[in-house]
Formats: sequence, structure tokens, C-alpha cells
Amino acid sequence: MNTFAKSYIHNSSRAKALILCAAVIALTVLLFVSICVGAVKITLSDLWNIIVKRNKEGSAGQIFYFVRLPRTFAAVLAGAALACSGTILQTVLGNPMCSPSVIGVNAGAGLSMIIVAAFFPAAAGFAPVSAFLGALASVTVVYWIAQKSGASKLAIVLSGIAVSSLFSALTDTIITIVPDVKISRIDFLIGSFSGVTMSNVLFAMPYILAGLFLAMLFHVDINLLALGGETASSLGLRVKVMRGLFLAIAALLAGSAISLAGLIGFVGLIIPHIAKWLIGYDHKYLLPLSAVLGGAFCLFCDVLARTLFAPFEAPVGIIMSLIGSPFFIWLVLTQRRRRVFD
Amino acid sequence: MINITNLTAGYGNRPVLSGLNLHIAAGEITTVIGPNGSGKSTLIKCLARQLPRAGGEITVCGRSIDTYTPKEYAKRVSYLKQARDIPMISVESLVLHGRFPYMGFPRKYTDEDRARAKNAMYRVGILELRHKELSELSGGECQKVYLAMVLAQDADLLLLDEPTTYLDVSHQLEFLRLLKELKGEGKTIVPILHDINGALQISDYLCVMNGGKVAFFGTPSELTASKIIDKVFGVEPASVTVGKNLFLTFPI
Repeated sequence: MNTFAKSYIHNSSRAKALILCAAVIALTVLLFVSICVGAVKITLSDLWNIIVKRNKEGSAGQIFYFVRLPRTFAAVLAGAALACSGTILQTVLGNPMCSPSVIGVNAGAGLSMIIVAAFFPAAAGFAPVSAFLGALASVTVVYWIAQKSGASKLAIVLSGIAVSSLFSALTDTIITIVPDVKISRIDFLIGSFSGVTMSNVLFAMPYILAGLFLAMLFHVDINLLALGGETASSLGLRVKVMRGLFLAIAALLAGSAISLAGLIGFVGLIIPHIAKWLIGYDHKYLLPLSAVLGGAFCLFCDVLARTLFAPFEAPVGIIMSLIGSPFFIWLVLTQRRRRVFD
Repeated sequence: MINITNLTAGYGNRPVLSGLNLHIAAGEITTVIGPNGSGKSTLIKCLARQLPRAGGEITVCGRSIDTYTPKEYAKRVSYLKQARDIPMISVESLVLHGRFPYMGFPRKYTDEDRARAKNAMYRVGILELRHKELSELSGGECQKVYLAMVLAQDADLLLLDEPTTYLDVSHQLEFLRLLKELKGEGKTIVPILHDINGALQISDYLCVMNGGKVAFFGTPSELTASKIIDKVFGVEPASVTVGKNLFLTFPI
């Protein structure tokens, strides 16, 4: 009896592991493409010289260390963080329409960063922390409003849109009245990886890795939350505590990503749905796949943003919406057959 | 097993139960019946700690239910709620969730957890469905999967809010037989049933709720003799005995 149960789990896990491996391979290929492709091409022999022979001199070495490497890491980290944040929000709030951008997490993080940049420029190095606090404030306000109004799926989305609009308006106001704010307005509002430095990446990375690690550590708990609060609590889960923890993790991930890339929106909505479609709703597999696909999607869009109009560069947020929107519409139109949004 | 003293509970400012007293014995099937809105689900939710009490005290195994940690309580009491979400996970994954109260840290299911989950699936007759996603199943099959999850929880006390909903007549009978089997293993079972005849067949005691109070508590034969069904449901049943079994027939 026991052997049978184990063999099923093994077979099922193997299929899921294969999907995860395929996604990791795609991400690895994109990593190389992202490093090599751009206004100035880096060839494989350049890469050999730079990485193996440790030759940092020359334009290729400079571009590799100061431009491509930080921006590639930033895209992977931001994509992974936003996709996982979206996956967590959709499960914890029980709403497939939730994402960091839809429920105001991005807007809260953005407002907090703008406040720090405009009024406390000396603390600009703490961008991930301020973004996290802003994101946490947003998600708390949205959750509180939704709870007070009955916690329906519609209430969560509507309160998220309202909070998002309010925080975005405040952000615009600050950018308008403090024109010297040290943030590129277009890059920040639409989202971009240009100008990201390795110190930005290294500062945000621990927060993102900690968020991903914590989410994975409690993957069974988030699976229980997907059953609804009553069932989860009857199984012994401290529902309020765990909801709070996961909302904080989602805010930490989204806030850290926004501190790197600005207000990138789409990845947190679309990637969780694609990941669920590919691998199902078990968060043991769903969270890692969301992270890998989110990183790969951001990298892919960033490469296009750099190359489509070279030598000019489009903000990555525009490319994401151009690719993501039609794909998402296709998913919505085929939802009945695929049950993606059930 | 369960002692309820002066229980008052409800939703918002609307009290549903007021001053309710009840004792449920260990190792017995005590079925709660009553008309819609009589407070059956509210009572079960209070017992399952899903609804805060406005007043009164509930003890399980001599301890106030407030003194248990969530996992301690889940090991002691399992609860199947009336309306359930249908998550997009496999049958086996859902049944394994029943083992959460026994999980430590890091979260990892043991061989014993898997064996108990499999045994639970076998008992409710869904072993062949274990590979399937819940979203592929019928309402009745989903119901059985949740029942298997509750069985995998291996609690002494089972609170089941309308567990036979969505089940056809043969599966209802099969389920009622399963409850008797579980009773034979020493479990205390408190189901809410709308099927009065089913309740008469399996129950040691019946608790008839009406207007947020216990209108009757007694054995099935005491119930049929009491005429309380006429009063509470507003219908006049006739008693029929077939072999050892007592049934009520209702006029149309």
C-alpha cells in the first residue's frame, strides 16, 4: 500500500521536475543571450577572456561587468520576485486577478521610494527597505478594506485599484513638485533595467532571496491556505498568522523588485497563471517555476527592449505589456478549456 | 467527550444560538437535525472553533476548547464544512493535507502520512481517483475526497456538516455505513444530516435543533415516540418498522 503511494508521488514529481528543468535551461540560455546581445555585442571569445582569463580591460570587459551583468541579474531577480509575489497574493487572497500591480503593492512601494528619493536623498541606498515598507503598507490597507467589506474577490480588486490610484497620484504629485528627485521618471514609472548597478543588485538580492526562501519553507502552509480559511484552520494552521506572513513575504519580494526595476507590472499577473497551467497548484513546484519563468520572461523582454530599437532602448515595461497582453488575452479566451482561472 | 454550557453565538449582532446546553458522549454517533436556519451549522462551527462564542463554555475531553493549540485541536477534532472550495490539486495531495497537524518542520510528509492518506482514500472508495485533479471530479467524488482528508486527519471527534450532500443514494448509504465503522473504531461522530431516516438508522442519539435551541435530545426510538418532528418540521410522519429498522414516512 505504502509502496504504491510512493511510486505515484515519484512519477508525478518526475514530470514536474522535467518541466522545472526545461524552464531552468531556457533561463540559462537567456542569461547568455542577455549578456552577449545589445548595442555592443559580446562574443563567446570575449566571454572566455573575461570570465576564464579574468581580463577586465577593454570595452567588452567594461560592458560585461558594469552594464550587462548587473542588468541581467537585476532582470532575473526582479522577474523571479514579482512572479512569486503574484503567485503568493493570488493564493493568499483567493483571487486569480491579484498581482502586485493590481492590488496596489507596486504603487505603495513606488510611493515610498519616491518619498525617500525626494525628501531623504541621503537614505536612497535603502531603497529596497523603503519599497518593502511601502508595499507592506499597501497590502495591509487593501487587505483591511477587503476584510471590512466582506473579503469578496471583487472587494479585494476594487480596493486594490483604489489604493493603487491614490498612491500613484501621490507619486506623480511628488515627482511634479520635486523635479530634482533623483529617479528617472519614465524609467521608474514604466519599469526599466537600464542604469542598474551591481551595488543596486547586491543590495536588493538578500531581500529577494530571503523572500523566496521563506515562501518555499512554508509551501505546505500556503497550499492549505488555498483550501480557504476555515478548512485550513480546521487542519491546525494559524490562518491569520500565516496570511500575515505570506502578505509580508509578497510585499518584501515586490518591494525589492521595484527598487531595482521601477514599476514593472505585468510579470506578477501573467507568470503565475502560466506556471499554474504548466505545473498545477502545488506550491512546492509552483513557486520555483514561477520564479524561473518570471526571471526568464523579464530577461527576454529586456533583451528585446535593448535590441528592437538599437541603439535606442525602450523601457522594458513597454515590451512586457506588448508581449504579455496578447498572450494573456489568449489565455483568458481559452480559460474554459484550460481551467487556468478556476 | 463534549460539554456545552450556556452557549451563545451568532453572526454580527444576530444571535443564532442562545443559552444552549448539550452533552455529547464519547464513542457515539450523535446526529444533529433540524429545519433550515435552526442553528445546526452554527453549533458545529462553534465546536470546530470556526466561530467565536459570544458566551458560554465548550469543553472537549475535559479541557476548554480555547486552551488547545491549533494543531492539538486538529489532532483531536476534525471538521468537514458544508461548502468547500475545489482547489486545482490532485486527489492525493488534498488527502495528504489531512496530515498537516502531524507535520513538523521542515514541512515533509512521512511514509506514515502517505500510508494513512492512502488508507483513507481506500476507505471512502476513491483510491482509483488518486491521480486525478479535483477539478476533473463530480460533486459527489469531491465530497468523498474531502471525507478522505478528514479521515486522514485521524482525530477522535469528527464534526461533519452535511457530509452526504452531492452523494447519490447508494453512496449515501455507503457513507452512513462508513460512519458506523468509524464508530466501531472508537470515534465520536457528530454529523448534521437532512436525511432523517438515515439519521435514525445510524445514530445513537439525535439532537433536534429549532430556533437556536435544542428542542430534543434522545435515542431514535425516543425521537419517533416524542412527535417532536411534527412540531419542528411542521409535517406529520408515520412510523414504519422494517425488520429491526425504524423509518418515518412523510406525507406529500
